[in-house]
Amino acid sequence: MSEFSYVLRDKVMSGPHIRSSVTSLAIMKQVMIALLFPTVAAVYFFGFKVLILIVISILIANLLEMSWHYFRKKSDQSNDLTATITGWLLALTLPVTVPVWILIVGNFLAILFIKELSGGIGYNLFNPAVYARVLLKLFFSDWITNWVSPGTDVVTTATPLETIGYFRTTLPLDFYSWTDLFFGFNLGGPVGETSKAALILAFLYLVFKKIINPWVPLLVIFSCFGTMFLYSGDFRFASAHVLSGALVFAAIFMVTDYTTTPYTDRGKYLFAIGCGVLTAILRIIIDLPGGIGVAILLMNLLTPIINRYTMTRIYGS
Amino acid sequence: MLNLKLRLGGIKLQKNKEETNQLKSVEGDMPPSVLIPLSMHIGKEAKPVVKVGDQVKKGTLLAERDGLISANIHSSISGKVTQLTEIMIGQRQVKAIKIENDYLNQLELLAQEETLEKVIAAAGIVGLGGAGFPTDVKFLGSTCDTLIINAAECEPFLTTDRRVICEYLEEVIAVLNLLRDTYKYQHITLVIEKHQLASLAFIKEPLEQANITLKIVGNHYPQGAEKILIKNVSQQELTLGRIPKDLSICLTNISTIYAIYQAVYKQLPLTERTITVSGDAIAVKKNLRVPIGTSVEWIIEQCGGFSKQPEKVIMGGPMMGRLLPSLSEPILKTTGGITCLSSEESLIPTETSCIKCSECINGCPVGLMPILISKAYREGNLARAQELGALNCIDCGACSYICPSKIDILSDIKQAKSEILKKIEREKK
Repeated sequence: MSEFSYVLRDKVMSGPHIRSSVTSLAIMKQVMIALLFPTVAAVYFFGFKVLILIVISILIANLLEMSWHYFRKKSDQSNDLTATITGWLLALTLPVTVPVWILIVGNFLAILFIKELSGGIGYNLFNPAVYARVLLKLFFSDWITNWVSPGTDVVTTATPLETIGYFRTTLPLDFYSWTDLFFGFNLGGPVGETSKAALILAFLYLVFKKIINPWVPLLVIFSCFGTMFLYSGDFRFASAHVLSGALVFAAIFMVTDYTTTPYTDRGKYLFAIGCGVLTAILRIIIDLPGGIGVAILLMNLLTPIINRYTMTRIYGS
Repeated sequence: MLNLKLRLGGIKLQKNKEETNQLKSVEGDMPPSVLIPLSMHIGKEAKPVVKVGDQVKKGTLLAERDGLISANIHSSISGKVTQLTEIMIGQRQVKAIKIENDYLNQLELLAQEETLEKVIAAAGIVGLGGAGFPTDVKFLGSTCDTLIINAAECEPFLTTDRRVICEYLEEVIAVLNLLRDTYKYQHITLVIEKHQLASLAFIKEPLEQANITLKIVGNHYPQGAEKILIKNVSQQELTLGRIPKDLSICLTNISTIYAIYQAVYKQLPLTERTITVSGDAIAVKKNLRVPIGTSVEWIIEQCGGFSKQPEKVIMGGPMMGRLLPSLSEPILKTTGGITCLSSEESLIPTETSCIKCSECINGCPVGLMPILISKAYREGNLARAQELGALNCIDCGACSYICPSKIDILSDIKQAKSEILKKIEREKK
């Protein structure tokens, strides 16, 4: 007989006796790798300061979560990187001119108000980063909407969305070029959202790594495009809406959030379509950009209801 | 609403079959003794007909069936009965007969019987896929029009069904023709998994000639589960509490078919079977033909012992197999393999919070929402667990396997199930 002996240490338990190698932590790491694409683009367009803001935001998010766990005596909770992702996402939705205290308030809202008060990871009804972003927009608009153009000269500018929203149906004559809109040249706006090219790479990465269902972001975009097209009858106008604002960024990183979206694929698709259509409607009827954030929060509210009506069909029923 | 189609998803997992797939089944050395349990089937334990001191041959009847749902038990070696004892198999205490090997290799053949069912019954054949349902009862007065032969061995590591196809295809076809003649089946379908297709190309022609349909199912686990096979082959679904016969379907594992061949054409009772000995902790992986009742310890010795510290030795495959508390347990009629895993391969990380990734929902082969049942059970809400279909769970473990938060969902569902069944029992009274 070999030198090894068989001793059963744990109590006899039933199968399965093996587990897939994918862990929640590994999934979060993949999301972080995907976040690198818009981050690199943001640093390229808005300068090194973006990186500092992101790092500060991540530090604040983790600090808040760790202190919460410490005070709630949940000290056994190891870091699952979700606070890092929330802080990172939040920073990417803000302009490069954002003051640090806004990052503190935003992370406070996201991590403590939404995530931890709901019971921690997996229990929150609203997407923390989106919730914080929408509230910041509501209360601190002045500090987070002084957009600047990329480049060395700090010139305040409008975002493309501000020039085409609110009951308009055609593009202004001096509208941005399609290349600029796609790659993010000469565009003001939240640092992570201006380069659609970088976001598409992130999308492909997440799909390739099987972290997100590719149909979810695509449905958000198609349904927003479709609604805009029905409203304006202008193909170019609808396309411009897809390439403007936070639509693509949110479709890839927020609408695909596991916790705050429905369980089944059918539910996720309904959720995505709802987000796209609502975004279009909000962009038409509200004077300010930020429609997708509000749309996501509204759909978050509907998640439990969608879940109820999109249960899987049980075999043999 | 919106519930149109059932996803027969299943999950992808590492099959770990490459190493044993091509290994011809071999015989090991004869064990010095065997310990044969009298219950290796579903139903009543068989009644012993030998006493301590009796000389027996390989094939001598040791215990006869007790009632309809039961099966004969034969000696798997020639020798002397030295002990009538009781052993634990899982949570069950069963009688067992110990036989010391005399190495004379004497053989006792089955007596002639008039009907096929009687031959199968006399040979003590039970479903070798793992359930152990007496096979003759399955065929008894069969009026089914479809016979499905399960060779979609979806459990990782196990390759015995595949070896039967490779080594005994002619024999299998002979039995299938016999079954068709006897029970007038209109369709006979042999089911294999897709990944085996290339290496099993040689079976297409003989099957076609014998008018047997070859059905290829995906590589997903658990494609070999009864309910999933039925859905795949016939598009029908078994509602809760019904059996394949209700859909006019008879379902049998391919190793069982070979056992029938041995009984019908060779007059041999079921006394040995092929098992796959595999896993990263075993020195030499083998498809081994062993007498039933051989101890796991002897089998591991036949495979060169362990090459690494074994963390888990499993009777069967790692998904649905049973973790062995010790190596002294004997091989049963229903044992498909011994899987020896090191800690690297079988480590189960600690549970973290559910992130609602929906993997268990997408992977559940019977359309349940496993994590919701688990949550309902943990909240003590049995009614909700039942409403969510806990009783429909087929125990495949896909949910626990795939969960990135490493929540043991299946164990929650199993407990919920047993508590629901107890409650239903109580309410009946």
